[in-house]
Amino acid sequence: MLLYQLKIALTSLRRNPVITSLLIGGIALGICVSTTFIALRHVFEKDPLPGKSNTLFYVRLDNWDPQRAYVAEDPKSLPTMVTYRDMRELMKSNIPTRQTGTFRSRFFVHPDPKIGRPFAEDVRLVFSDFFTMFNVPFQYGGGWDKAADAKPEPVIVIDQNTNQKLFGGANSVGRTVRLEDRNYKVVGVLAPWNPPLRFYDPTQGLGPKVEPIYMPFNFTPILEIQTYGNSDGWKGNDGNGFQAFLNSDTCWLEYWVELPTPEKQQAFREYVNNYVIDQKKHGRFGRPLHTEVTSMPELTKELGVVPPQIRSLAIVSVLFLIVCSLNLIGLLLGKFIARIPEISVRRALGASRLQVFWQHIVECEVVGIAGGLIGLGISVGLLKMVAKVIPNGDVVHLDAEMIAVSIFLSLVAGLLAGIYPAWRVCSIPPAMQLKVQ
Amino acid sequence: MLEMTHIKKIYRTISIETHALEDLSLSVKAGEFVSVTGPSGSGKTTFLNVAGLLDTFDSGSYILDGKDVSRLSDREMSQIRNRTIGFVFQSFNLIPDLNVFDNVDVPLRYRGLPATERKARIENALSMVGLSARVRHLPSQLSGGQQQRVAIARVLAGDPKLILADEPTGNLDSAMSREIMDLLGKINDNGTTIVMVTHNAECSERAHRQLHVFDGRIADVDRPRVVLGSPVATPGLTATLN
Amino acid sequence: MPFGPIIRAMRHNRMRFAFIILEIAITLAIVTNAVNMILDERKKMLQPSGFDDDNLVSIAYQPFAPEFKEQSYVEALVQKDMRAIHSIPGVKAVATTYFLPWQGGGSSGVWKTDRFNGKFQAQLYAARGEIFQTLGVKVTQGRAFVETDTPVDSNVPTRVTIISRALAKKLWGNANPIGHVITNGEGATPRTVIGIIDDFYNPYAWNIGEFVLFTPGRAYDTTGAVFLVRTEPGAMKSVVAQLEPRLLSVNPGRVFRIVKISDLKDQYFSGGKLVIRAMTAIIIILVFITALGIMGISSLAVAERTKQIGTRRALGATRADILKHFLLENWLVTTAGLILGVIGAYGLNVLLVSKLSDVKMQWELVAGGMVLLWINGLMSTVPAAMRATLVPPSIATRSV
Repeated sequence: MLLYQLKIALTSLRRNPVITSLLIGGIALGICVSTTFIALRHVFEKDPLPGKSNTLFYVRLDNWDPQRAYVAEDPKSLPTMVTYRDMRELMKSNIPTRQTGTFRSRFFVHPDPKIGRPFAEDVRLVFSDFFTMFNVPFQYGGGWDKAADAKPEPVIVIDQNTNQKLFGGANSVGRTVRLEDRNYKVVGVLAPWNPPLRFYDPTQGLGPKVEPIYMPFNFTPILEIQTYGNSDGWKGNDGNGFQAFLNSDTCWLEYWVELPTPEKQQAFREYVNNYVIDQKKHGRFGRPLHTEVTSMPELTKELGVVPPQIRSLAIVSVLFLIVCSLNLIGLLLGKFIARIPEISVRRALGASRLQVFWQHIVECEVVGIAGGLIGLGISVGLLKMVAKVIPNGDVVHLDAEMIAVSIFLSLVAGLLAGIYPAWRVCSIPPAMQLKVQ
Repeated sequence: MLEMTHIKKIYRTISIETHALEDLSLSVKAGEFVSVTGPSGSGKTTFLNVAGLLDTFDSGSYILDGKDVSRLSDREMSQIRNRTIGFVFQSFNLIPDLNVFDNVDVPLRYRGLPATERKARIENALSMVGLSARVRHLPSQLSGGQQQRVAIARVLAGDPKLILADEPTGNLDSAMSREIMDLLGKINDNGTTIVMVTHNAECSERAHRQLHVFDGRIADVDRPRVVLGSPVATPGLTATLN
Repeated sequence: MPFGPIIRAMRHNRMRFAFIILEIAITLAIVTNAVNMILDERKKMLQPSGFDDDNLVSIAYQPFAPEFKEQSYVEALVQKDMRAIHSIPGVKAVATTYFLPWQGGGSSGVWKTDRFNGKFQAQLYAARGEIFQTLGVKVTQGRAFVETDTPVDSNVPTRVTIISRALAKKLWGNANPIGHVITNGEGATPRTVIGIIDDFYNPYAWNIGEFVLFTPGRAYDTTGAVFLVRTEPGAMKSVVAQLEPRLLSVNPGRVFRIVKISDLKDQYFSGGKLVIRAMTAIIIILVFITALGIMGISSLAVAERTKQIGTRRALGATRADILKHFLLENWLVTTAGLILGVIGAYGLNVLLVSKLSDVKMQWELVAGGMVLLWINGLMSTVPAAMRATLVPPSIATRSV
């Protein structure tokens, strides 16, 4: 039956190519706009670590000025990062199955002079758990081990581009790279890794890419490595020198823990609170007790990493699609009403009301799918244009999920446009029209 | 009331010229009830369209209610249709989306009468056709006879001097037809001129005078002027007379 | 004209009108919100920085050569660098500063003043050299920095500051700000306001874009320096080409990064530009397709009612009456859609407004949108309504 209805639908669509192309064009227009902006939103808002992000938690403590909240107008606000000393203390816990404090710095890479001049490169300081926690993909080798963390051993992980630049893309595991005045042994080379957001660093918003080089965090106090990211302070340092900075209340580190079970989450939250209560005895944490252990999806939402305009564009584009389909109702109504004689003949020949209804719905869905596919094609081009305008735009693309959403939307659009006209024509009684003809 | 002389009406398309009315002359006195008969394609409808100022004609003259209406603007013709003429159509031509009251109201609105007067006229007209109880009904909720009575009420409310009826019983069964014809007769008794196009002999009988259109010309059935008709016209004429 | 009968007649086609009403309502909601977003983005973009953005370029260096470990070496080198940059034809002024216009951030701090109640937050930048000539702003009250304002010992804090007019207004109202003192807490060195610049805007969190303190400090150390360069109009390209070679000839033991302020600005507004372009396209297409939709529905309405129109003409309606009838019918539909759309406009606004973009719907916009769509609706009905006036009254006598 469906095949027969499909045949009738195609015949009917071929009969009036002008109206058919208007219908398909209308749907295509709505689909290309809505797909483009939903895809844009989807790229940035989709879960970067499906199945895992809910077990990764970001830790924040309110160690800010007792007389003034972190954001003065919002007494509930707290610093977006933690201090070095608090991270050190909290990392002594064995409740998290994995954990890492991390920050971004910048080093000079001194390649073989035959290859080129020294160049400055972003370096992320991490603990070994970082690579497992954030599913960092490797082409060669892997991360370093706990022993390398503790010592720390001079080991690094480099990304594919850096490996290309320094070693011509060969497996460089075991070779050395000179950063400033020290040599480091390459233990891992990343596979291509280009997440739309640098999701482990929620303070940066859209734009920055993942760092090309990773090295053990514990070099920080030894080499007096300074952050190349944000640092928020309210008090200044007690004394001079790097150690004074490390002991200060300045917040400059991101601290992530992996807590796979609700029990662990509960226990860790208590542990953090107890730590702060204890610190209060030593005269720190002058504000009311406020700690946050936030899961990655909630954090992304809370910090508004994705610009609100992207969300607005997605909402508006869906409404746009609705207008496009509503717009086709008039056209379909006219088309179907002109066909009343034919329908009454079919009705007289035994087509049931439901069959007539479905026949027209099928016709609308054929239009919907055709328009949807064309719209999808156009949106690939539109996304390329959008990608040129926004920061980090090269990550914008259509994935399988978005293609499915787009096809689904075109079916809904076809249905929205067709349901009333189809209902109108299927309620035509057969006899009336035959008598007049 | 109505004086047509040498009216000619030609429909032209790019390739074909159809002589719909060929030298038609006709005179109807005030208060007369005239029926016009003729086979299909004879020009009955064209005659009605010209008489009702629904269509223009190419030559000849037409005096309606003492006024030359041969060359009028669309607005003037609309005004005459609205005030002087009342139409009763074969398919009633009620507006399906409007209820009985609003249907009768249509011509009165275009006349720009105040609301109270319109209301009085509508109620009066509907009571004359015996449909006072149905003011809020839609045409689709009425029988054919009732619908035609609404159409007649629409005419009565406008109080025209001339009623043009086009097969007023064409879509009705005989009982209903009689009812409608009685109504028209009564209206005519009150002094309104009626010109009725029909091919129903029984209806035609009710008229004071019967005219016959053939090949775009008109003949008075009581005093046939065969001169005007072509030779083949004669059998047709007798057929209608039977 | 008869409203009553038209509305009563429309009730019998209510589904069809309901769709067009819904379409118009959503169109109004989208158009008003889209225009609102465009205006908001434009407002942000048109907010002048007060600087000569198009003729500004920054060049930062990071050293790797060992001699940069010596502060005294850096001190001398920066002076040489500045002279080298100055010697490039087309350079108007140069300064070292960590401040870059349109970076969408920078550095800020929290201060107290002698008279202002409580603490306040403002941007803070150290600068040395011709910072205000470079930015293209004038010190309109008080005086500019002089060389002696910068302490010889880099560990000694500076005692003077030049602030923006907006900050001075916030702190001391219309009183003369010169000579007032700003401190950052107990025991810290007070800074005396010695000058005011009228124009300053650099987008920053917490709405402190217009509040700034400049201090005459060193914007360089052993880890590198940033020079901000202002060029003559039109000289940007040739200056950019010479910056790196000139500084390399002073000392090659370092790498450079050159950023044009106009590029920073473009990057900062890239999201806004996307919004403006996308929303403009959506508005134009939307109004156009809504017009097409109304045209379709109204010509269907006319086609379906040919007989009725003929009857009305037979009953005495003039062409103008028929035209009025259809325009009025459309006007009613449009108006119903627009009334619903006003609710939609405010509703969508609530949906779109978030903590981060607080753009309230303005009633003028809604009113403007309504007028636009009213006109759009009437214009789109005119073709069908004109066709309706051409229906001859003789249609009435044609059977079925």
